[in-house]
Amino acid sequence: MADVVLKAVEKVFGSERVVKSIDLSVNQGEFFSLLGPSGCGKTTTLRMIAGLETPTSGDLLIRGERMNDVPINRRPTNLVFQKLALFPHLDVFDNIAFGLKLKGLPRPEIARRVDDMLDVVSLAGFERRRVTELSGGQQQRVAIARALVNAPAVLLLDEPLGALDLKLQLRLQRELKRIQRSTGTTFIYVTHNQAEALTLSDRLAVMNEGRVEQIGSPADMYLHSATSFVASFIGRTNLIAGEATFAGGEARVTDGALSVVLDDADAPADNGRTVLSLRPERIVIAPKTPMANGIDATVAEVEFLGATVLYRMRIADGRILFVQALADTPPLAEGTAVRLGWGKDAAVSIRSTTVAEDVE
Amino acid sequence: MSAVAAAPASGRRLSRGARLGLLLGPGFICVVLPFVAAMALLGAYSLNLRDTTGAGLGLSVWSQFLGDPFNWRVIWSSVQLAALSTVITILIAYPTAAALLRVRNRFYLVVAYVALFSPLLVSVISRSYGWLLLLSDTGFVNQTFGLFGLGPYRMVFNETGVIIALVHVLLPYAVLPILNIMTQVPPVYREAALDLGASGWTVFRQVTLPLTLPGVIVAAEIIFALSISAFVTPSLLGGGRVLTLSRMLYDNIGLIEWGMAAVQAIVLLTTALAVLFVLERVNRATHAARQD
Ligand SMILES: Nc1ncnc2c1ncn2[C@@H]1O[C@H](COP(=O)(O)OP(=O)(O)O)[C@@H](O)[C@H]1O
Ligand SMILES: [Mg+2]
Repeated sequence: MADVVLKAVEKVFGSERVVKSIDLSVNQGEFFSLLGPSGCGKTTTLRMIAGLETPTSGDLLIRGERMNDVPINRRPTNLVFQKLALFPHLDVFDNIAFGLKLKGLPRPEIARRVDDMLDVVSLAGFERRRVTELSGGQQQRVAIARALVNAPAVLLLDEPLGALDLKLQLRLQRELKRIQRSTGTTFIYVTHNQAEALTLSDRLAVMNEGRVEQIGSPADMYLHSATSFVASFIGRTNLIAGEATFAGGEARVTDGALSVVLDDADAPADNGRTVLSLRPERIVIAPKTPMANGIDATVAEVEFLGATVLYRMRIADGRILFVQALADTPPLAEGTAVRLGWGKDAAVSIRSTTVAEDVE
Repeated sequence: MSAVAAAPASGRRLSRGARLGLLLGPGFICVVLPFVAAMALLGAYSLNLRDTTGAGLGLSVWSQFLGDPFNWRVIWSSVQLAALSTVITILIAYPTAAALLRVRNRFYLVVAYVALFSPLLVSVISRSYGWLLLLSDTGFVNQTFGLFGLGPYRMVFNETGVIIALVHVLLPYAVLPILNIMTQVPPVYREAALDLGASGWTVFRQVTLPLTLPGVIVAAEIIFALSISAFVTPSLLGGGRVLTLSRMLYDNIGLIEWGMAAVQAIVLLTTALAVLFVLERVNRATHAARQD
């Protein structure tokens, strides 16, 4: 069952179309992420669902009810703010109890639910602590508890781990996932961190310049990227663009010195430009048996990543191919000439959109 | 011991104490020294150092002043007048600051600031006479009331006129500290409270007001200190019928009653300080609760 549905939702600020006709459907109990680079409209979309912004047009439904005109304080959603916004004049207990007190619940009931929630976020015993005395990770958990204690139909989270160091991020990611599973709450999670989105999400939407580029499971997104933006934003890829020619059940796409052979069923039949995404780990260095595709290259740069090695390989026309290999032998030295190969099924055809910047 | 430690903070570099002295020096000479000197003089005068009564050195002026119930009534009514002016000023300043915070258009903002500070650009005398003209029984305000068959209301030569004129001129002093703290409270707290189900009024009561209270208290301290020591406005709009401590003090200076003037000055100062002390206590208490 769909918990949150956006139908052709738009948001215009002044003359700027910040969110451009978004269609989304988030299932009940799902961990759903909005992933995209900074400024692509993620926060604005989330704020529209929360009720902090009104859509300029389109429909927003939560549990089947139209929410466009329902004010924020009457929506079944709660938001964990990017900057947390814990009330500095209240202690941990009163911060978490804030929403429950407004509902007019009896005191013992409030105390019980706050206690339970403190257990969930592993902060038992912190009731009377001042929120400003807490570490970043603890404040983060108070913010999540303050929202979640109200048992919202949908919990909205805006880059809640963005300000924390990497180690803490990873730990809180696991905790978030555990909390989401144990409460069965629908989570809509905004992040610009693709690794985080892939780790946490059941499904995700990749956004770019106010549009949704693709919606799907993390594996879907990676293996069957729909657009060049998605392919380059999620993980790393080699984009190959050229005209496809068809012969003998095969398609051939040529782009400079690169010529890629694939099954013709995998290449779009129209005569336009075909764009392919070839993942670095699908390329084999010095293949022992002949492969459908092959090209000569020299090692331009070596990045040792631990389990794998990422090579930047220069091909005849001067361009770079990313190649990722298991680090089971010592890495090749820069300047080494190698033969690269890949199978017919390695490259996938995608739709061309703006290419994501290489963020490292 | 080591060479590094032995090397003196030599050369051109001033010692920490000297630098501090240079920074604080001008302020100390202009403010602290005269204040201490004046207090010493006032103390001495209040003990009849400049004897005009022939009573000799001692507490005679103090007992004369404090022994008269009339003076206690003046003290009390001065405090009341200042407190009332403070409360009314704050009640007007708070929404004014909140409104100014929301003005985006630069032109309107300039207009608003000019209007707010205009009372400070006019001398106290012309401002007070302006109010007399507006508020008198046949003045503009009562004529307007008259159009609706109301009034005339007595608004000059009593507390009402004094308070109106005081609030008018003191408003900018209250708006600034409140506006200042409002700009420091990010709007996200308001959004968070709304998201948790609060109504606009609850947000104000439980979030905005507690977070802006320190600014309100600073404003109250300033307004109270200014209004309890104001004497031109109470004199002109009170028309001699509103007697305040500062007015009595001023009269005694005119009469060269140095001893009595000194006693009243000390009482005025003590009263103001006592109120500031209480307000500061409130501030501390709320600060502690706000856990900065
Ligand atoms: N209240 C606003 N008024 C005008 N422009 C805004 C407002 N909020 C966001 N924007 C603009 O909308 C775009 C998307 O912002 P945002 O949704 O915060 O992106 P993200 O969260 O993906 O980084 C940005 O260009 C931002 O400047
Ligand atoms: Mg954002």
